[in-house]
Amino acid sequence: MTTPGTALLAGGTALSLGATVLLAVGYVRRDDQFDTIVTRLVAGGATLFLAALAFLTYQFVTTDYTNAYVWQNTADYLPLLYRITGVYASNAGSLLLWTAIAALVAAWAIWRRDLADASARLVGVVTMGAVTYFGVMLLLDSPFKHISTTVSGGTPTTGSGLNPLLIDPYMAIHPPLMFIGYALLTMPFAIGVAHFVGLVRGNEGLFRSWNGSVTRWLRAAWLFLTAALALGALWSYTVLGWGGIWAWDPVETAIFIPWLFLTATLHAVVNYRPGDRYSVLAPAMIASTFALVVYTTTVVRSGVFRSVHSFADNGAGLGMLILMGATAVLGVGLPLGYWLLREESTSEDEPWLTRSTLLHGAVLALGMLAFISLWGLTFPVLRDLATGIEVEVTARYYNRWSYPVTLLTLLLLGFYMDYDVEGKRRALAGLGLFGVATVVAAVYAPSESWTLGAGTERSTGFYALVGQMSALSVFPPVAYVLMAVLKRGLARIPGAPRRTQLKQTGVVFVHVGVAVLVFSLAFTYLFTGQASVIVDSGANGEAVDVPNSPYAVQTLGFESYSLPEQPNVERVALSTTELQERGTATNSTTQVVHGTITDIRRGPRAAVYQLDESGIWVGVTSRNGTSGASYARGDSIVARGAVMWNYVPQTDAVVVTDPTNVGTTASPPDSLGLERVRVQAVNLAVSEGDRQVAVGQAAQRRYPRQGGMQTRDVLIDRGLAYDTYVIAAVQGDTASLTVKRIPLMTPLRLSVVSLLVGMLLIFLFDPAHGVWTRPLAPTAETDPDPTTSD
Amino acid sequence: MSRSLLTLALALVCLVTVSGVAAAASVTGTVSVANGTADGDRVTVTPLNENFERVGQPVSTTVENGSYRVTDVADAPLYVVRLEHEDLSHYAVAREPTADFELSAGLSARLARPDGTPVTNTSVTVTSPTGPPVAQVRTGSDGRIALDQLQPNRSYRLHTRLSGAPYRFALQTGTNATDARLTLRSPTTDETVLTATGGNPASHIVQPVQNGSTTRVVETIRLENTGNRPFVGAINVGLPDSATVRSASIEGQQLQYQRTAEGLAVNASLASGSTIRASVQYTLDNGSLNKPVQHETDSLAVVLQGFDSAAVEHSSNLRLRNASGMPVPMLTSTDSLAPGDSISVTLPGAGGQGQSSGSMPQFPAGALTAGLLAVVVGGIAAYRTF
Repeated sequence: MTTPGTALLAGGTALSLGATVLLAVGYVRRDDQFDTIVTRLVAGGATLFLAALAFLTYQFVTTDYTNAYVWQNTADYLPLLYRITGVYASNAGSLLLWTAIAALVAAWAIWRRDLADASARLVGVVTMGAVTYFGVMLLLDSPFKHISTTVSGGTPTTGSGLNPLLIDPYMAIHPPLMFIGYALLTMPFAIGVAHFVGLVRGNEGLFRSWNGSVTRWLRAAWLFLTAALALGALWSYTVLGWGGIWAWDPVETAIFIPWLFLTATLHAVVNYRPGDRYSVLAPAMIASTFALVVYTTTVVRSGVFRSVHSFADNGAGLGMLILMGATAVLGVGLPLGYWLLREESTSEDEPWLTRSTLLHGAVLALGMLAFISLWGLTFPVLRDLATGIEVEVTARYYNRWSYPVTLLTLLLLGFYMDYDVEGKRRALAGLGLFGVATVVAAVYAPSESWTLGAGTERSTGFYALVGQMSALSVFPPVAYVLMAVLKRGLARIPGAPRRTQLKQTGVVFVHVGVAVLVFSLAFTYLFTGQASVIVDSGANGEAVDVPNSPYAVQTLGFESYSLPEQPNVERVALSTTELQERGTATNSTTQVVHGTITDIRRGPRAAVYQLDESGIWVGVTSRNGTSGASYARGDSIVARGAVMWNYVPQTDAVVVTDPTNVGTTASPPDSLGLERVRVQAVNLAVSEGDRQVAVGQAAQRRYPRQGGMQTRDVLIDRGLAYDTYVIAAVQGDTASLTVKRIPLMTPLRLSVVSLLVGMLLIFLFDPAHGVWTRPLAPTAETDPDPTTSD
Repeated sequence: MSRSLLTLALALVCLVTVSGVAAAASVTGTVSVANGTADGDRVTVTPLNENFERVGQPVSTTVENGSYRVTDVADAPLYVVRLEHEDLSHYAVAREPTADFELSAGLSARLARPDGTPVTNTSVTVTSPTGPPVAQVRTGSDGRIALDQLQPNRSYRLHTRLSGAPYRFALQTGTNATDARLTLRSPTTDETVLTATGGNPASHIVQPVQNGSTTRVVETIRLENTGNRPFVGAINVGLPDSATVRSASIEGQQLQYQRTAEGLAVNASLASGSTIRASVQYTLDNGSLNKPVQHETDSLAVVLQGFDSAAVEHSSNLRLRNASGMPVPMLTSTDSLAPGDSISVTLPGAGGQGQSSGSMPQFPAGALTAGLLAVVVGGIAAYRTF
């Protein structure tokens, strides 16, 4: 059945396809006659996709269960925010979000830059091609399928509910940010691909003139991806009850890889000099970033992994695999082929230690970090394909490989920042000092809990070697980076032009953020402590010491309640008129009906009640003689059972049920599933010594309609040096509490803010490529930073 | 040059990770079946650690030409090999990566009541000595069951229920498993057939945990039915007077209980010769643990984890064992205990426990921050000076 939503999708896809074809023709013929119409088609396509997204959101807000996707992903009791969240709770809706934003980005880019030359048309072909492809995928697996394709017997009266893990404010904003980031990467991908197509066809490629544009797209994407990663991490900190922000879950890793690679790409693009340095690598990397996004998304959504994100594991389908192939060929294969075929030009006369080689080192180090994660994600899939055996790559692999590389990256960063203002001789002395300090710190552990491998399984070889390192080894590189970055900032910022000042402040913020982030992460994981205690109502009002910890907890009371608070039976059950309207389509389906008893027939093994003087009767059969409650004329009852049309003479339909599935409207039977959430909570006051650190509620929420899934509401006190984190498992009036002390969470949060503020400053005010300060002539774009020469 | 080096380095890393994660072994063996063939039968190998916990995915294969070979199973100290032949399952627990099956022995038995009337049309589950079920059969009109193609010289257990009472018999193929006569005696409610025996480190374990001002106690009793008939009835557990019962469970399953003058009672049934694990949780208002024992008990232990064992007072039928090398101090019974005996332990208050900070490591946040600041300020100053 065609729905308005499907029509919008089809329209958007058709317009995008038209634009793609005309752009391609225009590019091949070097013809500008289609440019005006293309601009309109692109705008029209974007409008239709956005309209489809808005329409789906509207259906969610009004809980329109004629849409199967809406029915699968929401329920009436949810507040407005989480009804909207349902839009991207599963694959099809997420893809629509991605598509709409990508279409908007493509339209904006074409409107902004016009289709002045052939290369601009080629970029348009690639972006609109991607949008068209997404459109086709959406049509094949649509979020607008009519409910009749999924359930029979008419539109359900209640929704299946949203995945409990997604009922969280962080999760409401994390996916849109992530998909905005992904969509923004479509542009650099298109530019990179167009560049190589140009090179292969024998002209110069367009990177030189599009360099500034690429840089802005990449920085914008980086901002959104960073925010998305941070929100995702904070979500897992509170919702999953890990008490940790990162668990190397495949889906987390899948965003982390493009983020790392994007970071490396940004450094490569800064190092780009037309016709000289990075003339191949920088465009190649920007093209590959999007290919990586598609690859990692495909891998984790293909259902290979049993991850916490398996709410969307109903298979990525062929569409995603084909897209993966296409982006890999265009984004990785094309640049790689060009690079292999081109003869190597080496400039031997350059000194080995320059800013450029150092930046090259940064690109390599970040690329290596991305590769470690990428390989960890890919390896199980390869092994599964090759041998049919599922293996799990544990956090140990990621942590122990990434740690030394991260330290090297930090040392390199410190050295670069130092070298940039101090010159070779002094900077090398500083590197030597901090390098030695790092090695010394790596072998000195004040106590057992400082070693990286503390409390984990025994290991051998490389893992054991890294496991024996002391976490103190993170101190010298971080101190080095902080010192060098601040020192460079002090040398660069005062007296510089205003834009340079703002940009350099941004650079300081970003790199200080990175150093603090790494520092906090290492210690957060090693020094998280926990202790448990059981409290019950007997100890009400009395402080109970938590053994082996400095904490005491005071129980202020237990509560338990259900959501929705006052379920509306009439909303869930069909009236007799509604059932009559649905007619024989409901034959043999299970339905819930309500009405007032107007006639009663009793038999030895069943009682039959007429509702509302209509042809709808409720037949209550009694198993082995137990009849359950009996009802009288005038009672309002609600019953859940199989609807049998033309089953008994003189009736239209009988709803066949048993005593457990029937009740009065005032006390409906449990099988109606009116209770969506069962909350068991304990109110607590947590004190450390004489100081009260947190007062609030810790709870567990059980979702009986969703397989009895449980989530926990944790009680967190956010302190400067450490968080106090309480998880409760409540059973009646007994609560089993786990109190965790998690150090350096606040510095961690601040470091993310620092990263975002810094990048925002660079994005806006960079004298060369800033949004605010964009020069009119794109050819004037070169890095004005003075380069130190020895 | 640098490109090829880079490519090489990446390839190397790939190789290293593969060897770092994947350690796999293969398990082989032969299968012979009297009057038949095992070809096409399914063999499943599950790797286990020494605690019989699964350490990898089960891997399956089929038997070809009387042998099987399962590759790519995770390297493990133990393997459970399961062979499915016709409707029966056979098991082998192997320490070596090899396990052979010979299916040649027969088992037949006749189930009857004490007066000789056969037990007809009743389901009997045959299990291997390690636990998992081998087959499920029904008795015929003469109360007989018969299986062939079992493993020779092996102990099999037969489980059945009659009028709600459980029965269990052990038969050894090749010894007493042919035409065995099994008598299903009527159940008893007499609790004296139950004795607490055979547990490690004790058959009856009492573990108090100090929790603020209250003491929470978990008691676990391993009971064996030493009589020759099934027990169906109430199991009594003695409790201190001030105990507030939190839960009672049998084999880990929470059950309804009744308070009695001496303690509490839960309903249970257990076959002759079988064992059951009963546990009770309760809280005490004070540290006084004074209670009677209800069963013949070969050993009883009071675990004193978290308590200052020197400050614990106890009755003379218990003695403190705190030898070096023991992970946890505990009180153990000096001799076996009989129904009616009492034990008495007085625990020190909450202040008695040592406040070890083992689970909440100290993190010198202040010192590290000061250190960072010092390096940054000192470093910048040093660069200005030199």
